[in-house]
Amino acid sequence: MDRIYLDYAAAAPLDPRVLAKMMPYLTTEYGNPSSLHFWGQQARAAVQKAREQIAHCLDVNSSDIVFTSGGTEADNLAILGYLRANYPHGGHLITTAVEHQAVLNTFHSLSEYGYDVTVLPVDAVGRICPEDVEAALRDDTVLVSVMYANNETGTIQPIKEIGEITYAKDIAFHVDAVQAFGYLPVFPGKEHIDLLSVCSHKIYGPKGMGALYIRRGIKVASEAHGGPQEHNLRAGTENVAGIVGLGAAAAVLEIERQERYDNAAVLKKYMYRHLIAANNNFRLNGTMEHALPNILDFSIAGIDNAILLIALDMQGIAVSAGSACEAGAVEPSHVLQAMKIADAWAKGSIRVSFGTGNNIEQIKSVVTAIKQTVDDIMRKEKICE
Amino acid sequence: MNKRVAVAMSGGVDSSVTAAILKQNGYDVIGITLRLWEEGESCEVIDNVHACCSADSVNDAKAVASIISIPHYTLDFRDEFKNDVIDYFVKSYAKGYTPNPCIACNKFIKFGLLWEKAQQFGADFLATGHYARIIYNDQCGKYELLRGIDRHKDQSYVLYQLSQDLLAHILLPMAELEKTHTRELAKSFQLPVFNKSESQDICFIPDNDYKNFLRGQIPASFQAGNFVDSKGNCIGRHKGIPCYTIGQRRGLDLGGPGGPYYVTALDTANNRVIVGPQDELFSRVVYADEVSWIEGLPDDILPFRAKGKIRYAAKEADCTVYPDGNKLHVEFDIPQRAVTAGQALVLYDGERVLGGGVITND
Repeated sequence: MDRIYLDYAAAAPLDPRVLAKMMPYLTTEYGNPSSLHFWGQQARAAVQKAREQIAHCLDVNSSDIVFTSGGTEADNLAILGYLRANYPHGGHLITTAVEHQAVLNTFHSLSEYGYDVTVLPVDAVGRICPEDVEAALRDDTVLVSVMYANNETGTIQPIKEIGEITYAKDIAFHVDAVQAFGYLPVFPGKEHIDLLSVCSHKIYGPKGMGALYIRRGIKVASEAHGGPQEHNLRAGTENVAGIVGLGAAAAVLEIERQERYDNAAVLKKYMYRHLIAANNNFRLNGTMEHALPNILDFSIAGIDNAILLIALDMQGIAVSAGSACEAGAVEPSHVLQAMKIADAWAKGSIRVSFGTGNNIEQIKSVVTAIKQTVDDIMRKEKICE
Repeated sequence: MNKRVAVAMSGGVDSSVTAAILKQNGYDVIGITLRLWEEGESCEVIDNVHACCSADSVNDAKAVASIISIPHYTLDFRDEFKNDVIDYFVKSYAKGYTPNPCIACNKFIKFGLLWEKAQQFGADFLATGHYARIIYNDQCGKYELLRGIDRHKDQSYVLYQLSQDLLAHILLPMAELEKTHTRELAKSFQLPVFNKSESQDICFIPDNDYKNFLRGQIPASFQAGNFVDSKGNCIGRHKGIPCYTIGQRRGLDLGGPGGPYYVTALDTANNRVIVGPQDELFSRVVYADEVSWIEGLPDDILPFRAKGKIRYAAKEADCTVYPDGNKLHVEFDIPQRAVTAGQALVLYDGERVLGGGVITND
């Protein structure tokens, strides 16, 4: 069976060019970057080069980059580390209802530790309004966290406008750019972003790697205690091969981002036109305007998304149906709930996300397969009733 | 193309071997584990088993699926399970019945909703690890449900509600096996679950403390009241009707000359628990409603001879059956002990399940 992978927003394959850069550090270059000898110096240099690569991609200083185990750890370090270093006893925090669990659950835990959290609502396409941020600000507001683009719908938030508001009030601004980084030029300096999380396996790097940008002058406390690695912000021997991989992936990204954007946009547009716009029982979740080019989230009336996912997987088509619980069952999407999408639609939501392995022929066959499968399921539903 | 079969995989040894056998027999097998109830906040360890972590069961099922190379998915049926099984369980206790939630789960969840969904993703069959046999009888053109070869493991009792339509699409490969053989098979398939312990009584009450569970659900039913004998004489105070079940002797705290006492009936209308000596526990006539027949309704409603089984662990006994549409009653040749409303009365003709119903008070 020819399989078609349409879940790049969950994990993109490792770019062979990136793997090639990593290989020495998985084999012959095994030194610990903290060691003072030749081997250690080789490893340290590799880590530093990767730091410069990712910094270049973000147009920031390499000394402002901390490597983490992924986007989730970067989000946790940014939020918890910033608060612990500056406002350990409480304060007012602002975030949005459509954040990734890595942010939302971190804020949730903070609300149990004396912090006051405002969760901003979104509109029908999942966008927050900069005016809402401004209106929510209080004298004791100390941190605002808004994702750059949503992982389920691809909806892009008005980051620059929010950055101007927080900058004017001198309030720290954290941005989870895990999904956006692979497709949009993300420049924290120009957007008044103080803390920014990125992740490796969304940009064809290895899993288990991420990075946090911390604007110079912003104090963050380490969440892990031990050695002095990562400017004392993340103790523990560096994952050298992973760091090299993230750096290499960022270097490739810088060159190929526009091409990836354009290719994905063509596929998304095709699928939108032929599947969603052309069928009354399909609806787009989100917007085609302020959205990433690689994520398309839609709902089908009267369909159970878990069943559609299985039926498509049986045909070799891999899609996502929102997030899964620990047991692997499809969970109701908090993002679609925040967008006030009716339950009947939300239960039939499917996310496809495109990447470098996809082409228009695949998408044409997927459109046909989805229509056919939906018809089959509908017919069987009627028989059962 | 190979026939596609969805296997309901609990992560236990029976359903794991079921999936492995079907895969070996050339079916296009899809493993499905159901998420049925809300796990508690913390995970308790009971008898060295993480009883409440359904995620652990899912991981076991996924490990098995990976070893036998089949896809595996988890479906979230929590809402339906709550409505059709847990609420039914609670409501039954509230009216003084002792329900069998597994039968409700089989009817509404496994052979109801799961089969419905499985058809939608293209399954031709649904398989479970139940110990019972299904055969097609050429002569009458009907499917028959027979008991499992291993009498100790026979589970035909909990399947009496299956219809002809369903039987045509259900595979029960465990039917021919004995349990010890199952574990050997699991070992030979290299399934890590080969020595996993038997599942507990009521899956959604992991600590088995159903009284505590009910107290949280229906506190109003836990009104203290009187123990009375068959003549209505007050003998003592009870702690609330859901604390008792028919035939119970222990925990009544009733001394006195008339003892030992057994619970013989639960009178929810007057919040009384009727107790009496052992001989008042026996009844010859048993009533049931919500009756269903494996091979359809009998042609006539004449009484017929059969063997009846009044609970999962009871021995079947000779009786005469008097069908009456959706209801029936049976007369046992020998009175049965502790007939309990809410349990299933299942009727057999030799190996063959004829049908059954839910026992009522009259």
